Amino acid sequence: MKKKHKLNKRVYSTVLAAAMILSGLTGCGSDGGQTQSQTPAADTGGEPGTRQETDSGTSVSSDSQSSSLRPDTLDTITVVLFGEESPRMQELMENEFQQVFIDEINTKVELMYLPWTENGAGGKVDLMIASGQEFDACIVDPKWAASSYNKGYLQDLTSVIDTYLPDWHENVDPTAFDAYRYDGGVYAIPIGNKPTGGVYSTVCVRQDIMDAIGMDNISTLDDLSKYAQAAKEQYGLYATYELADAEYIIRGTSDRNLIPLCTGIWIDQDTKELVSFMDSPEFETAVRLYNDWYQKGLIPKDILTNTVTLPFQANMASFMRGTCGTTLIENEPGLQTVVPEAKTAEYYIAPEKPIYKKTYENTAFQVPVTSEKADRVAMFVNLLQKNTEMANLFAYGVEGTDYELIDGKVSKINTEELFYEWMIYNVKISSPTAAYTDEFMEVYKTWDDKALPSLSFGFSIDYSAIQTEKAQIDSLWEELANPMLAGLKEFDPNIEELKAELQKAGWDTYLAEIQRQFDEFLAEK
Amino acid sequence: MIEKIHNHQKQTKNHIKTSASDRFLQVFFYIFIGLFAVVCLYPLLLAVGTSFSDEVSVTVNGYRVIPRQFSLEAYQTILGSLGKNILNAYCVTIAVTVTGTLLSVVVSAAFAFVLNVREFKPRGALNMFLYIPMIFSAGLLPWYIMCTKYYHLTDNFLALILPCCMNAFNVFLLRNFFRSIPEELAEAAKIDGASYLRIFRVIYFPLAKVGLVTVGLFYALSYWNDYYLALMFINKQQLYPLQYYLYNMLANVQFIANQANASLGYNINIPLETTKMATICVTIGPIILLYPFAQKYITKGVIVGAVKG
Amino acid sequence: MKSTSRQKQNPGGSPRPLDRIAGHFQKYYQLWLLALPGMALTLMFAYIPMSGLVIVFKDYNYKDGIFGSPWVGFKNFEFFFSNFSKAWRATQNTIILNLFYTVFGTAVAVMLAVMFNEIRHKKYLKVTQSLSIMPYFISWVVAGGILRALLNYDGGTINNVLVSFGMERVDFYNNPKYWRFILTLCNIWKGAGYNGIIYFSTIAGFDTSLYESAQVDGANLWKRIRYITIPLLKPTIIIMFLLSIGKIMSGDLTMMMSITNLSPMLLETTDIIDTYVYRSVIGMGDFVMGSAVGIYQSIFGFALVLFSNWLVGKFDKEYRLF
Repeated sequence: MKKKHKLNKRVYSTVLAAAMILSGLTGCGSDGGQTQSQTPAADTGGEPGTRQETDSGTSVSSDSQSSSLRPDTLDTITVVLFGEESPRMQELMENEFQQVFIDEINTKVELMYLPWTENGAGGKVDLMIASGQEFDACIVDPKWAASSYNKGYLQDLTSVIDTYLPDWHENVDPTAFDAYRYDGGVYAIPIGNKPTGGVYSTVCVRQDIMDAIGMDNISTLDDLSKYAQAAKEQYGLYATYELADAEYIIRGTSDRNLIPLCTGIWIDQDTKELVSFMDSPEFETAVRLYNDWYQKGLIPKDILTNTVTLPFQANMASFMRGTCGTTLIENEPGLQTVVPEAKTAEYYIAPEKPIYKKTYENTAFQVPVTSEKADRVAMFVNLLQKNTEMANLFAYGVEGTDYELIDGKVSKINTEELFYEWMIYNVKISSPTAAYTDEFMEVYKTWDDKALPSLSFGFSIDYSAIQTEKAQIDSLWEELANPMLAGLKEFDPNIEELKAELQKAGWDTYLAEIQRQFDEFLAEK
Repeated sequence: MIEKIHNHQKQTKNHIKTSASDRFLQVFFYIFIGLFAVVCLYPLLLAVGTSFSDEVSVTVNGYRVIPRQFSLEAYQTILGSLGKNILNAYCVTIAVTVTGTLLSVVVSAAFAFVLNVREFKPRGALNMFLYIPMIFSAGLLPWYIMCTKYYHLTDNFLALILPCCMNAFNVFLLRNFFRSIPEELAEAAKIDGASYLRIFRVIYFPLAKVGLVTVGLFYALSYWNDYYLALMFINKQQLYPLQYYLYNMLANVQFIANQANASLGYNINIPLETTKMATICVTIGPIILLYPFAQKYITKGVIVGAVKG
Repeated sequence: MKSTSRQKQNPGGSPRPLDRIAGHFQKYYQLWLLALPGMALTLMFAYIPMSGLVIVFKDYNYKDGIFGSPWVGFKNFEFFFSNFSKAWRATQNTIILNLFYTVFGTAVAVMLAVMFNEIRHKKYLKVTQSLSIMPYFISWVVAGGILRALLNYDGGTINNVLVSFGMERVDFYNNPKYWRFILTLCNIWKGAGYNGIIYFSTIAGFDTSLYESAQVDGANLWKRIRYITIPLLKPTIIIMFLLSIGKIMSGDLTMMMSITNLSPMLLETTDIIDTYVYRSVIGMGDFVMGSAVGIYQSIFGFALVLFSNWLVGKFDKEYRLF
């Protein structure tokens, strides 16, 4: 005690200043803490009430089924989206959109935008869940969802999807849930509805070049080689920047029906067996074909390092994979800014083979385990897919102000992004934009009709037992197989090394474990 | 007398001789530095040129110093996404840079001073204490949990400053600068009965101006360039710094350009490359002025003058 | 309070060390005060979160949290070391590249600083020095794009020049042997000007009278640089070297991704530890396995620093880092 008296005034003031700084810091901190801790308390308080209301609400119901779901208490959900909130979106979320949310589902929706880099495993969303920060929903894709499920981040939504998605069930294909089904539970609510049959199984080529060289169809790899050769000779275009394991290439290499599953493994749709890709004749055929192309100068030397996003559109390559007949709207407008007379067309290699729908590509909403408002999120997703009016409202804005309907097509007045069009777009209810011609729409609407569901549809692998093997196989595959699949390395001198290295990395364990999971999945099916 | 004159003549002769070879060396220095500057300037010119180009011509023809197809689209994209927030974003960045730099320099200098007091035994341990985090990092998850759950940095202005306020590298750098200050000065002050605080304030802080400016510059650059802390902790738009806006916007453009499956007619007209380049031009502008300003203070003879005075 | 009661109970027992501590604080409390803010920040943002590093020995899952998750020993390290030849290659590449960066980077930075110091035209100095730190602001992503424009097989500037001299084109992007050199050049280009500031401002702090008397003694410019500037810079160079030695096992993932696009054709010389980890665990979004390798990098680096620090101390204690 005596010693303290010896301290002179200056030190006292310094100590005081330091203490003030520290208390200032903790002061700010505890403030934030209070507001944070208050919110969940309020939520849990409101939650049981909400549930009761909705349950008993059915008897009180007025006109439509969905409005019967409308809870009596107002609550707020926080939804995480990616990208930038456009000024118009901000405006609508303060006025028209918010009003609709309150009128329809008595819920205030708050949006939180994060950069697109955080979309996926290991990003900020995962961090937020892991550290217990409150939010109620975020968009997700099947791959990310699988990883989050394994970490225990996702909430089982099985109980809410039956009750709170009445309109959704009318407009969205319920098989979409399969992509988010783990151990019998459903862990995300998909949104949107677009054809995905045979996705990546077609090849997009330049119709104008086809016409010029006198080809009228491409249905085999020989046709494709002939076309690529001619395009190189007459137009100086490289063939492609895609690797030889592209589905449209493998489709043409044999009579088997192979669909890719994961690194180095494909599924034979007929025998229901897993195929070790490196041991398959298809791998050999594809690598030899690419190597031949490489020798002929059809494959660019920078195939593995080029970062041009869309070389086909930039008039650098003569073909690329197609997606469900969309080349007319996906590739042509871009390509025509470089080559005005360019036309594109999409062909199936081996058109006689069946087409498979292997995954539901569309986005879904995940609900973190920390949220207590899964029911509200379901209502929210249901609303986005309720009917044409709602789907158009959230994707295009207010009719008359943000867009006009001309002959049933959307002509935009305001081009700012609202709720993502690609997310909400539902071929059953959404009005197409003017870019979608009638003839295109006809093909597009019926595109999935001839597609068979792939065996792997809804199958997701749990890697937790084979993490080490998987990690090694991924890196080895990329290092040893990709140069072969790019045509840069020949088949004969390199195949043995690839096989030996992968064996050493535990290929058999890896294959056996996935086979086991797959058998289990098939048995349940 | 004669000898002396002779000697003097010899000396001047010698002097002229040496300066001839000196001049040669100096000319070489001028040329080498000029070349290095050009090597550094060229990519910058490419960036400026490309930022004013049309995206399609960049994709097809590559980067150019003089744009083939002049276009302001990249800047429109940036302004479009920043909109009315641009002023606010600049303000946040400037506020963070200024407060952060001042705070960092004071905290680091104080710490570095302590590391430099010879008779202070625990300084070895303090050196180690400072150095270990340079090598061992905590990992993202524990760090994030501490910052958000316990320090409550979410949406807090301090979140943009405190986590990178102490940079061990800069402290070691400062320690090194402090070392070049003659110890006799501190000794003399001590004999006069000056306290450590006073020695720090009156002798070290002003005399190591060069070091403080240098380290201040480094801190300023790191605060100016940082988007990561905002990404981690800031959700409120009013607190977004400039770099975070740009980071977000680039990620957005990249996403749209990659999203071939969108079926919505996205195409190579999305200004991806040009926007990347334009962001450099937007952020480099103000900071480019900082260096010449700092350079004024990195001049010779400060210490010597002080010792003599 | 506790200590005083103890003192009373057993007189002559432990007061000495306590007194010594009290004496220490009495004498040095100002120094502790000065160090306090820095110590607090370091504790808050480095040491306390560091306790979470136990995560690398755990099978982390959300429900149990960091400390509750089950222990798994070294399982998270397994993926890295189970393929020893690749792990060894990655370690080697990392060390070699970092040594190149450090040695050549320092050499160029010192050279630049010395030269800048001899520039007498203020404007020339200002312009060139400002320009030399510009690359620091150019992100690796953009730098990678520019490099591609220089090195591409068809259309790359360098290959165009080679062809115009009647030489063969060089396929840089499929030949690993060039890349240590290219990467080192890139690193120097980006950092030399910036690091040069450190040495430049150190030189600015030197006693000018040394130079004046040397000039009077007839030492020419070269000699003054050789015998005054460089020796005086030695402590700074050594400190910088010691600081970078600790990071000898860690690499820059963004740089590698932007510049080589992680091309499998180049991995022989460009696969560093960070890229190897990235390529292995990317599919799983697993940050625990990454942290595990981080520990390996840190421990190795730390051991190396302790050794070099000891070695430096053998020559001159003042040059030591700690």
